[in-house]
Amino acid sequence: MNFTNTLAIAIKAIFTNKVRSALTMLGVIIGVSSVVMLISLGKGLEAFVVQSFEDLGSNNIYITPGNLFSEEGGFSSIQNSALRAKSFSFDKTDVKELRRLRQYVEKVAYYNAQSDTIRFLTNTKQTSIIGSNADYNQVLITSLNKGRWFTNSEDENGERVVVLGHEVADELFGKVDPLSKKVRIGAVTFTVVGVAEKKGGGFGGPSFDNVIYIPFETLSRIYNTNDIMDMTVKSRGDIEIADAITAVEANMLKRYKDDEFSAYDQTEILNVIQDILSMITITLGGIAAISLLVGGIGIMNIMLVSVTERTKEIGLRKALGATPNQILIQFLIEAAFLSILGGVIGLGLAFVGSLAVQPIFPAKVTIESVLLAFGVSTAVGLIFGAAPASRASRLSPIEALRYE
Amino acid sequence: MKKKANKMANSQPVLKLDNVCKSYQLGTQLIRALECIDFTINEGEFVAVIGPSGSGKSTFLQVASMLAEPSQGKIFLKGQDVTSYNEVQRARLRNQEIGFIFQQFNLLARTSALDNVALPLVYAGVEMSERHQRAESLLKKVGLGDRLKNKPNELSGGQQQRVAIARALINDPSIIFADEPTGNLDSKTNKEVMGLLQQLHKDGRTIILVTHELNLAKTAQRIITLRDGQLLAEYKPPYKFKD
Repeated sequence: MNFTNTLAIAIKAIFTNKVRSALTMLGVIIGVSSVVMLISLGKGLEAFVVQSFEDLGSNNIYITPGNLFSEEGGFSSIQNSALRAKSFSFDKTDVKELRRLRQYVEKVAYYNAQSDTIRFLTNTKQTSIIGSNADYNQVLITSLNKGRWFTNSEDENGERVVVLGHEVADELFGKVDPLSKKVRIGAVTFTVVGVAEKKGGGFGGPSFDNVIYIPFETLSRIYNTNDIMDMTVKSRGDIEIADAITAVEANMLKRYKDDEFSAYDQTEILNVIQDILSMITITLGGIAAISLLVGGIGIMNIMLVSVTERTKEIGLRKALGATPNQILIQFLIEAAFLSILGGVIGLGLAFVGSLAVQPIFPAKVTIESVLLAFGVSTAVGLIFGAAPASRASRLSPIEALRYE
Repeated sequence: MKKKANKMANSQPVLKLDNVCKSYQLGTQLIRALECIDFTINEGEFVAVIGPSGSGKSTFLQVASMLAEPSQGKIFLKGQDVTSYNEVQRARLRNQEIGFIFQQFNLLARTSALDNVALPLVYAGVEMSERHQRAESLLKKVGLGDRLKNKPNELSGGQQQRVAIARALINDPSIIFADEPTGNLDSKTNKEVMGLLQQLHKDGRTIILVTHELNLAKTAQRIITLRDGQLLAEYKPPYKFKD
């Protein structure tokens, strides 16, 4: 008996009990769709994060106070990094020193941040204020929707000009054009010179659009601080970024201890984030796999019932010439077919589900998750079908024929 | 289909049981279902095995048809010693050399008459088109040419048994075992089925009929009687029986 015949017998047996087969497959359908869906959400999130980092520019070196990375890889503990970050900040001497590394450094962006209320006529909004230098938008690529960024001289002179984040502009001005309008930040009046492009939210976290940008010097004067919270160095395009990081670190080490600052590029932080997201994806997939296990047990249960119900049929087939192996393969194919069909349907559901959530979440069905689902559902069928199939193959034809 | 003259009934032995016994363990008790018996059936012969319930008829059929292994003795099929055949070899032997007709028909429910008849050919590795062609031809021969697509529950008892007979013939077996083939039939269909068996015998088929009905057994060329697992006597026509 060839495989096609065995497959045909198995399919016929499955379609003989349509409702039962459908209910049996349900466990695998739910299991596979959950695994694929969660993996696709995880992968989509990972891809989104990678893209977001790439959008920031690939030649950037980020310098932050405190030791961001632990010795073992990954981020250092929150307490450790937060304490360091609180104890240390940078100042304009650091900017000056870094700018001297002309061989490696093209531009240096820096900022300090405060929080305050911004007002236009009767409209008010609590917002984050980024006080940055003029190079900030070129290094960290903050595209403008309208108007312009502030200039070097506006920064140096501490002029009261502001670039509004998209959300701030929207809420304060509505349909009115904000350019050249006067707003009050705290007690000080500013002129709007630009509006940033919409950046979107951060997966339910604070919006990147509820922010305003003013010159660093202006912020220093109003809030009476010269501290720099973070610096970003744009390295020259003609040198290796690793060499630039080494140079920047050597420069910083002249003024700070090793654990008082971190200098890293996006790949370093991206690797850590990817590791974390992969762990989350695996964990979620693992939890979903439990339902696949339950689905497999369902298949085994039904196959055992099926073997008992069809004992006489098995006896007849054996009497008419079926070998134990042919019976074993018939029932194994039946279990595997149920499971694979469930897997394919589950995969289809996961695909549709991923498409459905794409407007709000960057889900992405990968070929790996498809192969995984297909492989796992086949394995589930074969593993959980093995015991019932083996039982069927070992039945004595005489006993089986006598079975009522 | 084999076309052999009935006169060949005394030619080559098809099946030979040489001092064959069958016993099995039931808890701590050893049940001797078949005492050591000798039995031979020649090509084209029609033999009936009769006896009351518990006489060992079923055990005889199971051992002789390769469904069960003997505890002792030797079995020869067409001169070949098949006693020590393993499970796979026995399955192939049943498929190629033996045809079964059961009391309960044993047809696959939800499967057409055509596919039921063709079932042994599936395990013989025959292509589907040939399977259907041969099954159709046999169903026509047993008078069911118009019921090819009908499922067992759409057929009468007599028709179902005729499907089973066609199935028994599909692989052109050396020997046909009919186990109480009319046990589930009324008197009219009983006659039809027995008529069919006699026709097969006339066509040169070797048949072993297991029954507890003396009247049916009398249609055979030879009758052997079993009691308590022992071969009690052997009769040839004209039959004269004591109680």
